[in-house]
Amino acid sequence: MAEFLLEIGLEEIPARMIAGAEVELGKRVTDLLTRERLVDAGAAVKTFSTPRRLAVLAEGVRAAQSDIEEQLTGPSWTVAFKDGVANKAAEAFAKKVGVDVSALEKVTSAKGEYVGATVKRAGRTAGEILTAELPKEVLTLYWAKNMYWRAGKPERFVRPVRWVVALLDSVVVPVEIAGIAAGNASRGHRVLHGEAPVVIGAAGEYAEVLRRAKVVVEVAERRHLIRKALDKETRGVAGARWREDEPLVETVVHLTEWPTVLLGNFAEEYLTLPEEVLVTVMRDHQKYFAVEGKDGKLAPHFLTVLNTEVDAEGRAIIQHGNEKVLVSRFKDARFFWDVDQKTPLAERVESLKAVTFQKELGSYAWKTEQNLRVARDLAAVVEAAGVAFDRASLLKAVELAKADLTAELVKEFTELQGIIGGLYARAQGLSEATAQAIYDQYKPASTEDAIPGAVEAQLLGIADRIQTITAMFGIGMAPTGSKDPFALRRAANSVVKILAESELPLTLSDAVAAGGNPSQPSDKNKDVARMGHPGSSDVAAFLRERLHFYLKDVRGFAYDVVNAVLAAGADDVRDAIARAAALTAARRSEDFAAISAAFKRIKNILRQAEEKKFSIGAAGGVKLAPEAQQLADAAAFLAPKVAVLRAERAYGPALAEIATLRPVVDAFFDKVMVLDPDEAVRGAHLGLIDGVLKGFSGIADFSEIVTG
Amino acid sequence: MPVSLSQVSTTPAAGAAKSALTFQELLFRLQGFWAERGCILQQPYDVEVGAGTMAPETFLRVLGPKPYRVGYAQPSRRPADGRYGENPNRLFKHTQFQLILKPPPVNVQELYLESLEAIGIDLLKHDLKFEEDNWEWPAGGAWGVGWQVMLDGLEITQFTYFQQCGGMDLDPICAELTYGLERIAAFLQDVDSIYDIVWARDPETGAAVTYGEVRLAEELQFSVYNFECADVPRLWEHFNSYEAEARALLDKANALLADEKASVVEKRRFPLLATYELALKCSNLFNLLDARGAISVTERVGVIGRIRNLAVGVAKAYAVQSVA
Repeated sequence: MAEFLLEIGLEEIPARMIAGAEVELGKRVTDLLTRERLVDAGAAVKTFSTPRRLAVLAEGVRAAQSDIEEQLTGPSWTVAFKDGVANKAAEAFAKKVGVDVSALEKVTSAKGEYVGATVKRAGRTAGEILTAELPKEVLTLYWAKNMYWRAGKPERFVRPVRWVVALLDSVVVPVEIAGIAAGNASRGHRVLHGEAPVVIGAAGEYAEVLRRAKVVVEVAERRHLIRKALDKETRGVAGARWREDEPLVETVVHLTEWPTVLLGNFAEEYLTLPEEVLVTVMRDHQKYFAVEGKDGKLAPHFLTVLNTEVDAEGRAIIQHGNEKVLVSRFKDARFFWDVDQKTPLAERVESLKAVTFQKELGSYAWKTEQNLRVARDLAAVVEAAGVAFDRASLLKAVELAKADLTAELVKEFTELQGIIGGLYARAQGLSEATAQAIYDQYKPASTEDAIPGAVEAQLLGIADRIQTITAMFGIGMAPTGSKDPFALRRAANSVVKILAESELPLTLSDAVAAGGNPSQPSDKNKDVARMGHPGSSDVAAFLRERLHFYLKDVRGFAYDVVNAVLAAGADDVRDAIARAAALTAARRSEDFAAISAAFKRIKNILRQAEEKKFSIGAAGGVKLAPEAQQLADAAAFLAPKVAVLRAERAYGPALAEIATLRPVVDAFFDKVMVLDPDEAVRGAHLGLIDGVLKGFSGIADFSEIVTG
Repeated sequence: MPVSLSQVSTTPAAGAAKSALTFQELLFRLQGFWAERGCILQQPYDVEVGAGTMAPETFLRVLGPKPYRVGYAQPSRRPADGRYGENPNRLFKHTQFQLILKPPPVNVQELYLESLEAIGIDLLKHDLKFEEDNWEWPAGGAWGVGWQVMLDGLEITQFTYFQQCGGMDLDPICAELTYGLERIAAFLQDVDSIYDIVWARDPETGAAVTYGEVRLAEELQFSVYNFECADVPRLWEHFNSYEAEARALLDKANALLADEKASVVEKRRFPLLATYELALKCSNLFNLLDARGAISVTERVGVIGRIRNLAVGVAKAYAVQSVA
């Protein structure tokens, strides 16, 4: 048994692509070794990566495959042997499989008698197999973006391959990948080790040898080192903490081979810039960790993760360099902030005419007008329901929401759109409700993100998104399959989430109605309206599909519960959630499962009746069997109670009441032949069960529930 | 808990900064370094360009199979980036030291690191990272993958492996290294403003001439021109006129290059290089119009498309001509 090491040496791989490639290479090598019987099934391998390398170490690799015997079948026996004498067909088969004719044997199968041969195959050595198979396993790794580098374009890969180490214990496997012959020489840290080759004496020594060359090849170890070093450096500032930022930790883990951490400072005067701007500069532009004080507020420090280890003089130089860069970026931001204040948001609205929202639809000035229309409609519904909010502040926020698109600071930090508008609104003395609504307009950014807290911001968020969805549907830009270039699904998910998690008295149909007719393009594109585009029913269906997604994937309700609940009404989002929760709790009871089964049966019977064109009659005037009469009485008694509970949204108690129907329902189906030959009786039965179905399906369509 | 300003690190190597290379020495060193490694040194291209990439020494030389190594300092104009000389970090015209290595040597990154040592950067005392940064110039049908090279948090070089140019796959590809000279000089000299960079020092008196003394007036006046004075209708006239001439030449070139009866001599003497200059003129006029705010969002894509037609058209014709 040997250890096998493969290391692919590369020029710096983009940090975002390394983790996925490391996993994939590990899997490919494992699969190859398993497939070729060089390791036992289920064997695990270790994987490593740094910006300059991907590596795999497998233990327990056999020196060679075991020999195998194979039974091969050839032509029909009677074709190959005439009177026991081999003819041409037998000879050809023997030659093909590499045995003597005398070694051919008769094989009897269900289909008849055939010529057979037992062939011994010598197992290939691990070296042979790896040499032959590794190149294509490596070169077909998935990369989000590839490049050519060699003349003649023989292969594409994420970056040029510069060295390959392939060892079985200490023996080089003579594989060639992208024109590079494998050896036992790796490379160390570019600066700390330099260009001298790093010879790996044996596969198992890989990590330790590279550590001596100032490369930590294990990702988990670098992550741990970085986190510890961030903690340690932060302790230099009393009471401070570094701001946890997992994505940033992952990025710097994949940007370093020998990480160390350095604390830098900036002048307190920059803390007057909004925290959002400071953090964006530090995190997104410089990959620095922000530091906060005891009060949770930003402190004038930052942490940068270095890909080197330097002496005190070096630390001072690097700290100084990073501080200078940061300050010049802060200065830029402050410059843009000051310049932007010269033109208040209100004055910027006019210039939105020159900013395209969507070329067939119009500019952001057009978009703003449309948003105002939608917001007014939504506001009217909310007001009518008696919910208090500041209408004037809402409309001001809608009017100014997109004005920051023309701000220099937004051009510099596009990810802060909305947030900067909100900050400017506050700085320019607009009402707090207006400023906060503008600030929060893009919340929630994802299904994990929180919704805005204030009604004004919630309404702006819904108005903006529903307008976008409706308008895009109007020009035939509805998402199809994996294509959703305008992220309309995300927009609709956010609408549903706001409705679900706020207290807004709005239904999906209120939102659809406020969105208006999808075919309302801007003046210059009137012809678009004549193109026969979908109507608001498509928008409604789209939102309903997003509600389904929300209940199932975000809230985690079972799919049958979601189907059952939405079949009974999909307009009031919070009501649907309450019904789904009650149904999820109720379905566990045995009585309820029986009711669900009974409702399924009722539906089937009614379907049959419809197919046979049986008419549904009234219960009166026909003498019913006692069990039928009991069901009718129980239903008549329960229906008003359930209706009251439903109206009170007391879904749990309502479902418990419905479950009490079980004995009478069971008795009814046991004793009564529903489709009685007598037309009047049959009609009465059908009328009865139709009434039960209709009367008790208002909370959920129980027939959708999957039972035992 | 908050620290006082004095805790912010002061220049650790104040002495080193004084002995740092002047702006022109920086250029000499880079030129010398790469000349010793087999590069032709070219002079800046004498037509307005937005980046060293657009000069024909890059845009056209990267086409076709012929190996080529060239370096040149290219003043690069971006009218909209002008700040009247008031912003310490932004310029209307900055200087790129542009290097094309076609095909790239296998040790191109190591050579690059040596070039940093050559301009006085002791890598053992700095933090260096190659961070993914891909590049594209849609109007030139050009793109590549590569890195921004970060030194102590500052982007000092754009390193690109060109993959396509003029809409054509390159084979061999080339490495393009673009050093931002002002940034590197400000870093080496540890000055807070580009205008404080020492451009040159009198060898006898040691008196310094600063970047500001050499270029500030130009930044101011061109900002005034670009933002306030450039005559928009005339800019459009120039644009249309240059485009028409380039278009006419390009049509002729395409007809000639496709003509089987035309001689090689005739094909080779066709002035595609001049046609490309006309396309560059259009590109610069577009940037001026943009700085004047004269290009509406709806027009923008269309105008870029017109420039692309010229630039990509010339590149395609050039590729044919060079193998005629």
